[in-house]
Amino acid sequence: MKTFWNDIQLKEIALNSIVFSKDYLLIFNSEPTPPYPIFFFDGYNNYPVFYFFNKNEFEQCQFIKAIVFENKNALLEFVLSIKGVANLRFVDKLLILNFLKDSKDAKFFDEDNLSKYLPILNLPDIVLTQLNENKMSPDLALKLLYLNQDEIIQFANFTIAYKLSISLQKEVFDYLITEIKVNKKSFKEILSEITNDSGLLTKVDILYKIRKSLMPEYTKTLEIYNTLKNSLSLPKKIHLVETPYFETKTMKIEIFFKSLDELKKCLQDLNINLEKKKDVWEQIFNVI
Amino acid sequence: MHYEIYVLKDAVPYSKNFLEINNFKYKIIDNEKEIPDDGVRKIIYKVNKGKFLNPCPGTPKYVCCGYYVLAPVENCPFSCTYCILNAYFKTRNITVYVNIDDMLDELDSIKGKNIKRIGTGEFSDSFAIPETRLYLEPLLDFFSKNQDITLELKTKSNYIPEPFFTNKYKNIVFSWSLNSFTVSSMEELNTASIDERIIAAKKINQSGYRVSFHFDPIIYYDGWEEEYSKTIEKIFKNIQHNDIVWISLGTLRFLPELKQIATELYPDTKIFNNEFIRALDGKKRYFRKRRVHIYKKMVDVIKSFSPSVLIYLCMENEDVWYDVFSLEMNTKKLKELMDERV
Repeated sequence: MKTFWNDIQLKEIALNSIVFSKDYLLIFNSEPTPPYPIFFFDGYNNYPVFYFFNKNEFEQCQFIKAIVFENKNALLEFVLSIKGVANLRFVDKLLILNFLKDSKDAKFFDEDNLSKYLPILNLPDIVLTQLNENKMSPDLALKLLYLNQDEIIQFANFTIAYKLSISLQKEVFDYLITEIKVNKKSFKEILSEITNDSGLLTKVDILYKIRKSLMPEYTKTLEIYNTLKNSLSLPKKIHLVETPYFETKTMKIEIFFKSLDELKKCLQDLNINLEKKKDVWEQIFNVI
Repeated sequence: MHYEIYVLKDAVPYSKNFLEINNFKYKIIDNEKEIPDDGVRKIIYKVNKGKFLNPCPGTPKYVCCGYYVLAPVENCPFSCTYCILNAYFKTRNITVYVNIDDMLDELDSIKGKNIKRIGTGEFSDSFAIPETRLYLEPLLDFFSKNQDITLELKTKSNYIPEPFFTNKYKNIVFSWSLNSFTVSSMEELNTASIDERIIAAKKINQSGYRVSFHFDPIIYYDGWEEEYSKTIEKIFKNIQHNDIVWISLGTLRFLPELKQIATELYPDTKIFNNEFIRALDGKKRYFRKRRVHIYKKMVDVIKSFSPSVLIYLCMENEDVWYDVFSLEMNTKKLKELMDERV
């Protein structure tokens, strides 16, 4: 039996788990005390160490310290018997699929149309970690391949620093791509513009800047609307809410109250406001 | 254009004659997974186990004309960069449903149910593939016996099947999707040119049919106004005004995922480099004020040629309707208006 674990860099070890990396595949089903049971695939070759045909046989063969399947079908069966597909993380699934790509099982494993995401495996670890933690969408990760490695890392760091949600990440990315493709700016130039070089802008400021660039007509209307809304000086417990992106002219008033008296007072204040600020209200209707 | 044809085993009895009469080469398969996934569009003959006829899916919170969609074919051989079908269907393959008798049974079942308008151009082009002939004759037979229901056939081709010239069907409306010359040449790949479409419309109009036109999607770019005006002018120079049943207008709108799909398929397209907001139905649209501006200009130009032609907005909200036409509109009213028109 050939053993080779001394030559392998172990990136991650967890109990009763399977660890996939871009370079190798590890499987262990017991307390990981060295030497570990290892299935090794270096991306090019299988290293035949020992053969077994089912999980029971493997479990009975406690002396096995390292093992590799020559047959990818058997390996897949074994992986899934230990850890169901549902428990696999996104990048893990891609790694399995990549591992299986030339075998007929690739199709079986590709029910979710995963193969189109395989290029994601070329992304830096920072992105793969975000994907596995469900902090980035696979579709956005795929789009990141338009950028070079440095830019991808800068983008990922930016999204982490500003704790951008998945939808906001997409918005920022769309902005970047528009600036790169349409306005022919460099990635660095754009990032420094939106962070104002000082890095002191808040997430809200940055997103506003981006939206202003992507949606100039809308943000111009929003600015005028917000100015007018502020000048209404509505009582604290009364909020004026517009339809998102002014897609319709409908607005709503939210009134917060705890008692009948409070409600009556709010309505009274609102009536007074409608009279006193009639011009402003009319301007608002005209603006939207 | 020639496509490889794959026939699912249970579809063979329905299509064998058609395939042999037309001398089409085909391969019989047990499962769609046998079809090579090489990126080349193919035609698949299969049995429709679902429904052929459905109300237009419309879009929530927007006014729909309430017509019914008949879908004997799904997907389209044309390559329009903006086409929603790129996002709707996972594959580029075209599906032809061959159990035509079931389709006719479904059509029979709607008699007397206040369904006045049916169209085949929602999930495919009505005439773009030769398989149209598979169902055209029985379909025309149904509509000739049911004159209270109108069939709208929508296309971007300039092909009109012969049976329409040999017989006259009063309740068939021929419809062309039109655009500006620039959009048509840059974004509607493999389709007939605007001139060819209008010439085809003229030909069928001269043989006694009513026609309709759909400016959808209208795309905003520098010079759009002048270019769309030219297309409108061309319509009214060639078509009898009174024979135009309606003209619909709709600005570019798309599911957010379409942008990525379309830019991968058509890297040169520029139509997504514009200002879009996320509308109430989740689709991307131009900002409402811009849409109103576009529609008003289009309506003004159309009305300058024909004040009486019926113009409607496809999938717009009530506020846009009001700002464009000073009309309180909703789906029920629009459906009634258009039902009366046919």
